[in-house]
Amino acid sequence: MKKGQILLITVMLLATIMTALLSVTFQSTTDIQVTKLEEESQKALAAAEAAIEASLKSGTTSILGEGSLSSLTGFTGSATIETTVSNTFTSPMVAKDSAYTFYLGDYNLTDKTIGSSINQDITICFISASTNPAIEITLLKTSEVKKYVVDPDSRIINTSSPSSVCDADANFAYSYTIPGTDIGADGQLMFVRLLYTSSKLVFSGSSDLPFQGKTITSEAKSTTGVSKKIVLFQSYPQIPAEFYTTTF
Amino acid sequence: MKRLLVYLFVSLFVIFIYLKTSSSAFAAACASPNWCNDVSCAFDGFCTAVGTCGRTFKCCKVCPTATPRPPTSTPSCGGLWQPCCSGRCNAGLYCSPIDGGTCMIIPTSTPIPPTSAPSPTAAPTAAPFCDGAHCLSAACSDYGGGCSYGNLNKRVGTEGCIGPLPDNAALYDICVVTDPNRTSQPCPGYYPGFSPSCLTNTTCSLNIDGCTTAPVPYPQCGAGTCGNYCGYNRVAVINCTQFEDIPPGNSAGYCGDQCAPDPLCAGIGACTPTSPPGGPTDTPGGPTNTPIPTNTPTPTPTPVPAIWIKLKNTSFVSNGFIVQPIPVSPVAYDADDDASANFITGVGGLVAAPIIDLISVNSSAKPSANDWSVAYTPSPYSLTASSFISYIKARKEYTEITSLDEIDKDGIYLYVGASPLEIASIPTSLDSYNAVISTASVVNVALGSFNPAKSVAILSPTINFSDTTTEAKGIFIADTVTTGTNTNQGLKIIGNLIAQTTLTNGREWTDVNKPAIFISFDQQKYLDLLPYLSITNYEWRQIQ
Repeated sequence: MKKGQILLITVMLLATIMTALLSVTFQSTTDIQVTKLEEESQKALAAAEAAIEASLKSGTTSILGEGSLSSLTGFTGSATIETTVSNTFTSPMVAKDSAYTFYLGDYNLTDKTIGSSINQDITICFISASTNPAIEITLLKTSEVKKYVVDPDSRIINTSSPSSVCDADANFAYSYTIPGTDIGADGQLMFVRLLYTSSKLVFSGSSDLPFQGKTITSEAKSTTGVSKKIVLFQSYPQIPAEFYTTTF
Repeated sequence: MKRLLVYLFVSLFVIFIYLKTSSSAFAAACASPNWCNDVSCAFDGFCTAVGTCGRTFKCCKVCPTATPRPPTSTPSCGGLWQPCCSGRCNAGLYCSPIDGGTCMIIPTSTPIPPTSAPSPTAAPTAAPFCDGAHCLSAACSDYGGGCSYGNLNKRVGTEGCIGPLPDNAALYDICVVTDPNRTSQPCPGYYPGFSPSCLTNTTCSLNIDGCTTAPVPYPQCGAGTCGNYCGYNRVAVINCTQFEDIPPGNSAGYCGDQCAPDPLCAGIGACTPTSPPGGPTDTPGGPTNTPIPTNTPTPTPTPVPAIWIKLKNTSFVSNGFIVQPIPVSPVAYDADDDASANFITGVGGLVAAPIIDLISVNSSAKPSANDWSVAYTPSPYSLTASSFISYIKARKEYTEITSLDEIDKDGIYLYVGASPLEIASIPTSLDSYNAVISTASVVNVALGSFNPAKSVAILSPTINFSDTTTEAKGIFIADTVTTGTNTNQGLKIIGNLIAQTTLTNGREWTDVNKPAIFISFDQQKYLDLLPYLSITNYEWRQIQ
């Protein structure tokens, strides 16, 4: 073997080794950065959740790094309680045979009373599925109780049929309107029980609806720019279906 | 040396190729529409691109967690058939394999066609009661209350006996004879293969799949002792499946004294304790075990009212069968009752249970004025009196007490005192404060009228009302509720009653046209107790 060949092979070997080393180094650097990014992401998420907890407890806006969150450094952001009213409300998912309690007046968290009735038509929308839900609506008033059963597939005899249009949300196939004259001035709650399958419920009226709970939006941003934003809805007290319908 | 250099070179070349390949795989993954490297959503796969692969980070796309997963496609079976997973179906009955055996179809509403010629049946029913293997819904509807037809969910072999029945468990149609005179029919009155056995003094159970039993108001189970039954024109003794027929008018001598507590004996003047204990005495003229000739009209026996329960302004749901012999001429319980022949008077809601029979005595009886009812098997109760204790400990403000006198404000109270909790008088605290009283102890309501001025809810595994309690105001929630025994005193509940497992009723009136128990829903109690007898829903979304 000539000296030139040895040199050439040596150079090639060195080049190969250098390539491998650089690749490994690059890989390690990338992994470390991704890990740091994920760590920052988790911390930001935790900070945002902490701000929501603080807002739930205080009932007011919570700012990261201030007040009860003063120990949370390295993040900016806040949790704010939504105060915007709307004429539609979409419930969380209501499981089969469970129910959602809709408030017809403003709920006072301090003295735990329900304010004046909304006294207007309320439309309730629910989904279409391979097995359609049926709903039983109980209108609780201080003076009386009214009931409605709506079944799009007529599985329950003598029930009302829903409208096939939901004006408030096109993702929902069926709707049924409770007249304002039924709700009246002393309407307190609307208890909607689902049968056959689960669904979210959309409640809509002609004017703004009472709050149905607290909606808190929280955002936390780290110094490195990682940002997390979460939204929590906490409903007002819900009567469990198991404790409401007579059973034996 | 030369060989060593070759090995080294080859090794380095392999390492280079591996790194190159990994890089290519990574690039391919980044290019995939489903790729995302965010640790919290990498499994999901439904991502939207916000950038391109960079040199610094592997993360090339971000998965917004709020992005909904596309709906899962469901095979369409067409008609009245619906798809189900193979593990949920019984291949031996109504399912047939499709798509290579991984999916099966099961009919949801189509009765199985008769596989053999219908067997002749006795008058007055013209329609066949069964087709030799299956009971027929038409016969039940034609029979006018003597038989209930419905569906039961049943486990299949692969599911074992652990946990609740799945929502989409296999459905079996079932007939339950609620009129003893139907026993001579070709079908034994229940789905072949089901074995009724005594469950309590008032119900039998059907072991429907080897691990799940369904309570059935099988007439052979008397109220006095399980195994003794006395009907209007017949008596059954021995056990829940063996009994004797006697014609109307010859019941004297057949009703043993063990039948006396049986509500179905009420109003039968000839039912006197003349038979020896342990069994009936055959009376001449009283043919026993004689099948009714199929071609001879048989006099229709006059239905006899029995103990029944009435509700007001509420809805009703049950996981068991509901059989209420509403009389032809109901008598009002009190001024709150309109004496209608409805299970629910006033503003009646939905009546839902696997099998509903309200017309065994009065064919005109209805669930309510709205007439809403459905044969429906609800989900197992997710919240019970016992599990609510766990809930309030985790999520609610509550106070532990050892005496009801310790209640000093509106709220939730967890009773941890001596068991049972005896309520022999109304604590003054309950006249002043709205309270939810939850306890793991038995609660005995042992006073004539439990009518606190404020709203109260009592949650316990077992609530017992004394024999002399006439009225109780409140929301009573328990697994088991007993009403005490009284042959001429009903019980009125003003509020609500929820007995999630068993309601054992020993109340009746000498006038059986009057409901034995009258439950009048009071919405004000729920409004007063809303902050306490409630749960909270949460919905959490990460939008960035």
